[in-house]
Amino acid sequence: MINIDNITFSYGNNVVLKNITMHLEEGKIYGLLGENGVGKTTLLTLLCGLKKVKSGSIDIDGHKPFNREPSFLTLEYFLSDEVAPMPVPAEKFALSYGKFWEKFDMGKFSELMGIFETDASQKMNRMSFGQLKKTYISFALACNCKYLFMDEPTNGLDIPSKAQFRKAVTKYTAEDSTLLISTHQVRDLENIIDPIIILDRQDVLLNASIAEIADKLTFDYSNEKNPHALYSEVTPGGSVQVYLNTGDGESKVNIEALFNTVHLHKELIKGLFRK
Amino acid sequence: MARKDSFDSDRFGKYFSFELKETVRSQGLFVLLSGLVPLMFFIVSVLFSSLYDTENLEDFWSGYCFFKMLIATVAFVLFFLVFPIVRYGNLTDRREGVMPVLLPASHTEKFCCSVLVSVIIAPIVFMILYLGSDAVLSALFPLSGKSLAGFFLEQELISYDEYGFSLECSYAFFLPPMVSLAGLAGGALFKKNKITKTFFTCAIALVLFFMILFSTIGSVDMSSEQYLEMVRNNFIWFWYTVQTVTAAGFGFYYWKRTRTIEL
Repeated sequence: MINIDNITFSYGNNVVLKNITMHLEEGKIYGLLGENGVGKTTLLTLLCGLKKVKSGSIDIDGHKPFNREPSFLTLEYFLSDEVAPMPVPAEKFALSYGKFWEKFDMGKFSELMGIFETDASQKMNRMSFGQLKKTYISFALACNCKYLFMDEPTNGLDIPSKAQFRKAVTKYTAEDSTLLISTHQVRDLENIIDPIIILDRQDVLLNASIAEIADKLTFDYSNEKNPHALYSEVTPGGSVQVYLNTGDGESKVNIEALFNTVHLHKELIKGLFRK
Repeated sequence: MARKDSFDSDRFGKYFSFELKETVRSQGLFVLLSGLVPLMFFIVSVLFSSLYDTENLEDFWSGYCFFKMLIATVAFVLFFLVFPIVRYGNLTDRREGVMPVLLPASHTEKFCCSVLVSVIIAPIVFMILYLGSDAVLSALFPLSGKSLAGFFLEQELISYDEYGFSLECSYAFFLPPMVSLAGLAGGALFKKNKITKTFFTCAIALVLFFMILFSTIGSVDMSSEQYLEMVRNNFIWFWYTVQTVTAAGFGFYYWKRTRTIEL
């Protein structure tokens, strides 16, 4: 269980996160969304222990991440958006680094590299950025960590690889693992992220499951204009409108439309989902 | 049994062997080439000696012996300073630092390993290679003079005089650790141009230190005999203390910086 309690973080005088409070439950794949510069990467680096909060606290299973105790570090893996091209073959990298994570599974790493159609015997510094990213994603999932933090994992992946990523995450994530994935490419992760967290400048606008969202908002894909729509958008295949669910049943959540709706009606949405 | 978070001997062993392998993989060639500097210098000297006629060849090779000592001094100091930066300077890099910082081992274990590798193991391997290659050359080409190892072995470790005895090697005993720890500290302190910045910071600090030292000594009213006696009595232990304190200071800074590093 991850408890984020009233944390603040700033770069010099630039306050990025202010009074952020959240609770992340076990066994879920959280999608972390937000505009550029709202602090998604900063939040991930705070959670994995790369940065220290200025005030407030983060508690992950009784650990303070910045203490970087081995018993905590073995529970987590942070996949950065920038990955290092090591001058060794991917399989050698996995073998030498993987032994530090108690549940690391080399067989799983090889399987994942197979799913991603990436040659594990190739040196990492000779791989393309996409291949390198897939190697690190395979390593991250093979570590079998309880907490996995991924920063823009689908950046640099080609179209088939994005589908492979969804398959890999769905198939190879343990039931009790908690994933927090920050992304701008919401379509890449549609159908796998649930719940969804939307960060704003110094605020959390939304932290709700897909079921809760569908319970409170209706996503209408018909071409009939609804005068009460909070957000509407004409898409190449038709249109999507978002309005308050007045008991018409549940609809399929469109994350991009949800994101835009939340940004247009911040206070309304916060009030709607306040627990 | 639950493992300790501060220090666990099994985990330390695993991390230490990982560190050694990584060092060999990533810096092995650098250490090897640095250790073969005498060979490179010898080859260059042979090429230059071909410009001399046979009558002046002895003069040329006697000059070689002097430069051999000079180059060895520069090579040793540069290696001790540069190696830790090359090996551990990536800790401050966002892309390359994430893995080593978040690798499941305690800070104490990581600190001990980096100090062992850069202050003891790498310098010893380098010195063996350097002195070894120099000794082989001296044995094969006697014209190139006595080997550096032979020169050091002939030095008396303890010298006696009317004031008692002093350990001659104590001048240099803490010098490699001090320089290596300065390299570690510089690698963790500076974000860019680490080698240049560390080198110049150390050089400036050394100049300032001696300026302050000599101006302090100069301000004390004493005769030249008294001055010599003071140096004879105190210099070794003073220098020994300065090196120990400085090495400890650099080590503490590196420990503190890596403990609280943020990427």
